[in-house]
Amino acid sequence: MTCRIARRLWGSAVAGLLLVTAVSAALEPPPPRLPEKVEPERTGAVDVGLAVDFARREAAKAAEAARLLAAEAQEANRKAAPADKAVADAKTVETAARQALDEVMAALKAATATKEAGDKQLADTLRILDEAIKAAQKASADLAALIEQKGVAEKKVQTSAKQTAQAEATAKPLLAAQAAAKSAVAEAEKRSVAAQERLSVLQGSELRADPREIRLVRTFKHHRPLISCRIDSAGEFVYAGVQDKDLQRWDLVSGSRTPLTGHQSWVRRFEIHDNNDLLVTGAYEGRLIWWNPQETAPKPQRIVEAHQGFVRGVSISPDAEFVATGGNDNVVRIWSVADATLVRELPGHESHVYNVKFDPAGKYLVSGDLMGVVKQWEYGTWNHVRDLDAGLLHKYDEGFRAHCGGTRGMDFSPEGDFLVVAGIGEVTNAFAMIGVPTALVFDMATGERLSVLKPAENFKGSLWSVSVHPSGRFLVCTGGSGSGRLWFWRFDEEKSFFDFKLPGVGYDVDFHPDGLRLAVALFDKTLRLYDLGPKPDVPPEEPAENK
Amino acid sequence: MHDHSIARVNRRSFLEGLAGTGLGMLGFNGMVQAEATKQLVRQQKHVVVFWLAGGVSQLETWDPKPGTETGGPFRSIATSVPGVEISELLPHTAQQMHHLAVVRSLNTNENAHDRGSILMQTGQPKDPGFVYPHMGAAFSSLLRSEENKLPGYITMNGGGQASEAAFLGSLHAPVQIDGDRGPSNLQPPEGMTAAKDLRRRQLRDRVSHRFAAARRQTDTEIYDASYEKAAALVDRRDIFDLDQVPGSERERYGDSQFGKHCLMVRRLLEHGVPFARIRHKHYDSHSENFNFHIEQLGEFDRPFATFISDLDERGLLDHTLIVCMAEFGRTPKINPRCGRDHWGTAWSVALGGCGIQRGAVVGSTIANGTEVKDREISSGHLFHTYYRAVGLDPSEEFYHNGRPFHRTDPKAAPIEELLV
Repeated sequence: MTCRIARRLWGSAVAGLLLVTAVSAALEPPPPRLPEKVEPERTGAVDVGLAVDFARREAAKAAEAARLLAAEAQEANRKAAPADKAVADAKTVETAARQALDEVMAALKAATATKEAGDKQLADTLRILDEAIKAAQKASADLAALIEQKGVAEKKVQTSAKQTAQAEATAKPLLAAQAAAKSAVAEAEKRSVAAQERLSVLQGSELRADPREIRLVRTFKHHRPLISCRIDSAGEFVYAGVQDKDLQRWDLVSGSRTPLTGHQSWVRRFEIHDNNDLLVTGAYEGRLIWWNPQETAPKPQRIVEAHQGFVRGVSISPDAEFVATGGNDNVVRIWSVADATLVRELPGHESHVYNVKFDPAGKYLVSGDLMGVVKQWEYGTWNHVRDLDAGLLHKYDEGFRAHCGGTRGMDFSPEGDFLVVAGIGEVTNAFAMIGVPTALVFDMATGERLSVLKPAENFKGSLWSVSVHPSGRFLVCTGGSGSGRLWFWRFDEEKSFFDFKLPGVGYDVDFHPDGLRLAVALFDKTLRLYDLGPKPDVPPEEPAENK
Repeated sequence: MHDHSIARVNRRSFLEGLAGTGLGMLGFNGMVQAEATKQLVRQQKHVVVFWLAGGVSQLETWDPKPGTETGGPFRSIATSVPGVEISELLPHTAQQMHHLAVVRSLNTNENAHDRGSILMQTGQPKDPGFVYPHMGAAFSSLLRSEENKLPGYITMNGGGQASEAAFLGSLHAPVQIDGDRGPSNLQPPEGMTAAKDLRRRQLRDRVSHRFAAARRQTDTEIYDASYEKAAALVDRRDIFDLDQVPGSERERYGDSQFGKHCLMVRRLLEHGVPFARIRHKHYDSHSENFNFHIEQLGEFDRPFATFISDLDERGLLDHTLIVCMAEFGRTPKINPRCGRDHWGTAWSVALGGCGIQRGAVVGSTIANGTEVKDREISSGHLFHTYYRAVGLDPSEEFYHNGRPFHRTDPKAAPIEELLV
């Protein structure tokens, strides 16, 4: 509506201006008019006066009309004044708008230019991106192809590795066997040479075992600590109990090992009869097992649930009629070798029976316990003959309220005249095994203790086993605490005459039937064979007259 | 799962307790006053610890490894819980395994006797700046009835020291019973009739009150507490007179001192003693571990099993938490003396009774037993479990000399699978 009014006012204002212009022109005095040259021959004659009069009247009329119009125009001007102002304002606005428009146009132009540049850049970028995508797609395709190739290659590698492994696996035992065979041949040759040398030395010597000549000649390795050992009477095999269920047997010449499986716990004690046709083992689960040691791979012949708790002592009578056993149920039992039936129970011990042993003459059986009580029983009647006092090998530790000691090793002299009982004496700390390795010698004729054997060196620990040399001239004990020893005594001397350091604690020792060698079962997972005979590499002594 | 029966002793109730006692220094004492704890006392929960001093071997008891290099010579045997085997040295205990639970994955990382002992009996490592009460004193303070004047903490066969009570005071210090005939001097002197004794006590009370009026309360309460406990033991000396027990019952516990201690403790529980520790000693077998464990466990097995079955038959087991532990276990590796040394890295404890999931086995060790295989447990875990088992909040704080302490290791948590 406002616009329409403004347009109308604007139209009126224009018309008014035109009218004023016209009126102004009419009100101005006419210029002097010159008589035009009349050409009578061509016009009619007129009254000049009349004409002037007419003209005057008309002029007056016109003047009046002009005056009226002027008044109207004035009125119109008055009325048009706001419109003029509005026009002026509008023009100002229009000018500003135009200016703004110009600015916008300029900005638009600039933006258009920028957009065009951006478009161009975008186009370029898109083109590059497109190229990059194409390149990436191509690279992906290449990668996929390579991955596939890699997979194939890997598969080939795996297959070939498998084939290699199979080939190696196939070859390994063969190669190992080859290497072992080679090594065994070399070893055997070496041993053969050594044996020949030894033979020649022995043939040319006065045979005598001398502990001072002791040297390691063979080591048999295992993966568990060893706790017992015996060499058979043929000198063919050494048997060993370990901290495991199986008894181990090594061929002394070839070194081949055969496990004897049947027990469920450690085999601390066993014996092989001198006839070499019977092996009886006793283990900590309480079982006894009869074996035939002459079998290539001995299997249990008889299994006897013999004791409640540990079996700690096993001995076969010299006539191979009976097996005596003792254990943690404080009872000694006599079994028939022939059918493994129980022949007799020998009660009387008041603590764990640590050891049993038949004398070589076949007249007695002795059994020793934790408290150091050694009972002598008559063979056959199984009557109790007497007690031997090995109480020095026992201590009730008041501090720890624990019994410590026991008849840990027992052996007879070859004629059965003397019994040696080994263990720990003078205990000052039961739980740390601080005491003195001690062995007691008893006269079997009287039952009296003859001597108390101790190491010459100052050593704290325990004896775990004793073996009397077949000559009866000396005995050996093994044991230790943190470290191990072999101690050698003569029967008539209370201090050891030779102490030999072992690489680990010895738990059992046994002489080879040749009397020149001994086997030691060690905690360090080895069984070691030592030679006490003349040394092959030592030149024979010169005859006295040449000195 | 949260046990809603837990007696949560919050700070407010703690402070109420504090106000009630009127003592300036308070810790667990304040908690005893809380109503929730009183409820527990009315239920009369008990805790019995079998402490196998010196460090019993886990391989010869709860975590046998037969056939392995470290396993030793013993076999494992089946128990009353199908699939759970323990050492053959515990044949009687094996028949009670349905009342017990075993944690086989304890790693306390502590191989010293004294520090291991403190760790296992306080749930905290030895702290030079603060002495935590031993669990005997702590449970005495929490479970002892005000009406029952018998000691709250009795230890059998040595080891009891007044310092175990720490800030809880002499009322909760252990009363030690050695020998197999109960405390000495239980019998009144000749000519001392009950009436005379009463008059004597009344006189003593008057003198004592006069004495106390002039001294600090903490000084005098030591005397009073000691006298009160001694008088209560004298009054109930029949508990220790095992001749009053039927012969067949005594026979089941055996003639050893340990067996008699087990029987005495059963009778003490029946008379409301909340905490007892039975020490069975001499497991520190650095040499001849197997022989010594035969001896020691041979003595332990039957009385322990009898105690468990007896408590069950008498309905006491549901209210009595059983813990069988030591300061550490023993090395799986067997040393050259056939011994085992100290080993806190991977060992076992057995629990049973009140709040314990019967027959549960928590955690395991690797094949040779040298390391924990899964579910490693600390002493802190055990203490959280003990408190939860008897219905107490293990995460409770207490204040000592204005300093806050946690009842149990805040980094640990209860062994949920071990709890009912």
